[in-house]
Amino acid sequence: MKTTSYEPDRVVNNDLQLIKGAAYNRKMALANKGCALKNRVRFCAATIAVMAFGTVIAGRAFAVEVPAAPPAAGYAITLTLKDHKFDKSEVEAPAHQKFTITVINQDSTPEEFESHDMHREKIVPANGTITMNLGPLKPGVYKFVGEYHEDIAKGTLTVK
Amino acid sequence: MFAAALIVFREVLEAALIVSVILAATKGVHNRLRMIFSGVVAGCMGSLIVALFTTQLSNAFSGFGQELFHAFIMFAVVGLLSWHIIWMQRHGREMVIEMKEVGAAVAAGKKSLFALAAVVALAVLREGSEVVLFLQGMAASGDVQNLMGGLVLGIAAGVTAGWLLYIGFLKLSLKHLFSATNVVLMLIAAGMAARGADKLIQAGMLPSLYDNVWDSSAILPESSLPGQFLTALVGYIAQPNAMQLVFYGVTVAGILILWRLQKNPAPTKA
Repeated sequence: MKTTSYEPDRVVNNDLQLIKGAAYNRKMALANKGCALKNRVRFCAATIAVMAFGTVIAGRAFAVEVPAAPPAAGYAITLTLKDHKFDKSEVEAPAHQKFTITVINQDSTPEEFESHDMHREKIVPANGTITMNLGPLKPGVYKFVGEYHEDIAKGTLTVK
Repeated sequence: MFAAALIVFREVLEAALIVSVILAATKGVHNRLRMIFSGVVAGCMGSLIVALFTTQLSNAFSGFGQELFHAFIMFAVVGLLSWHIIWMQRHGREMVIEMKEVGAAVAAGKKSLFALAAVVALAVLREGSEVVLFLQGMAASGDVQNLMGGLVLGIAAGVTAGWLLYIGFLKLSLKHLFSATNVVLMLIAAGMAARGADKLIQAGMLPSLYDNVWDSSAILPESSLPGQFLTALVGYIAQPNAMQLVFYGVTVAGILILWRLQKNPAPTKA
C-alpha cells in the first residue's frame, strides 16, 4: 500500500519537470537550429574518421607485434586474379578439415571475393593479397566469384 | 548498366531498409529528418575514407582487419540500437505519442535520435565503402556511362525498397508502429550480433562451436531478394553456426529483459 500512495506524487513531480523542460528545450532548439546540422555532420564525420584511422593504426601496431598467422601445415589454396579472372576456375580441398584460400589480385582495381556457399565476402585490394580461414567443409561443390566482375571472375571449389 | 545497378542495389539495400525502419521508429520526433540525413552524409564520407584505406585496413591485424572492422561496426550498431530501444521504452514513447511537436519531444528524441543517426552512419559506412571500391574499379576501366547509370539506378532501387517498407510501417496505428519498429530494431540488432560473431569466427578469434545448425539455403538463399530482406530486417541466416545463434539469442534476451525492467520498474520495497 505504501508504494501506491507514493505513485501520484511522483507523477506530479515528473509533469512539472516536463513542463519546465519543455520551455527550456524549445529555447535551446531555436538557438541551436542554425549550426546544429553542420556540427552534427562534422561530429559524425570526425567520429568515423577517428575510427578508420584508429583501426588502421592499431592494425599496423598489431601487425608488427604478431607475425602473420602462418597457414601452418594445413591445406592451402592460392588463387590469382588477373584481368578480372581467376587463374584457376576449379580447385579442390579435402573434406572435414581446415584450410586456407589466398587470393592475389594482380589487377590495379579492387575486387571482392564472394562465396555465398562458403559464407565469405572479402575485399581484395588492388595489387593486394588476402587470406581466408575456411573449413571444415562437407563434401560438395562450392561456388565463388569476384563480385565486381561476376560474369568472368568465377570458379568452383570441390570439397571431397 | 543493369549489372552494375544490381551490384549497387545489393550493397545499398540493407542500409536503405535500416534507414526506413529508423524513419518509421522516429515518426513524430522533431528534427529526425535532419539527424538521419546527417547520418547518411557522415556514412557516405566515412565510406570514402574507408575505401581510401582499404589496403591498410586489409593488412591490419595479421590480414584480418576487414573482418574485425566489420565486427566492430556491427557490435557498435548492436549497442546503439539496444540503448535506443531501452531508452525509448523508459522515456520516449509516451512523450512522442502525447506530446509530439512539443519541446519535450525534442528532449526525448534528441539523445536517442543521436544514437539512431550513428546507426544510420554505420549502416551506410559498412556497405558504402564496397560501393565506392566497385565504382572505383569501373571508373578505372573508363566505363563512365555504365558507372553513373548503375549508381543512380542501384541507389534509386534501394531507396524505393526502403520507401515501400516505410509506407508499410505507416499503415500501422501510432501505438502499434512503435511496438513494431522496436521489435524490428531488436531483431536487426540480434542479426548484426550474429553476423558480427561470424566475422570474429572468420578472423579466428571465436570458435563456431557447431557449423550449419540448419541449412535453409536451398529453400531461401541469403543471396535472393527475399533472403536479403529477411537478413537485413530480422537477421535471417541460411546456414547459421551455433555461436551465431548464441549471439542472436543473447541479444534478444538481453534487450527483452532490460525492456521488461523498464516497463515494470521494480517497486522500491523496504
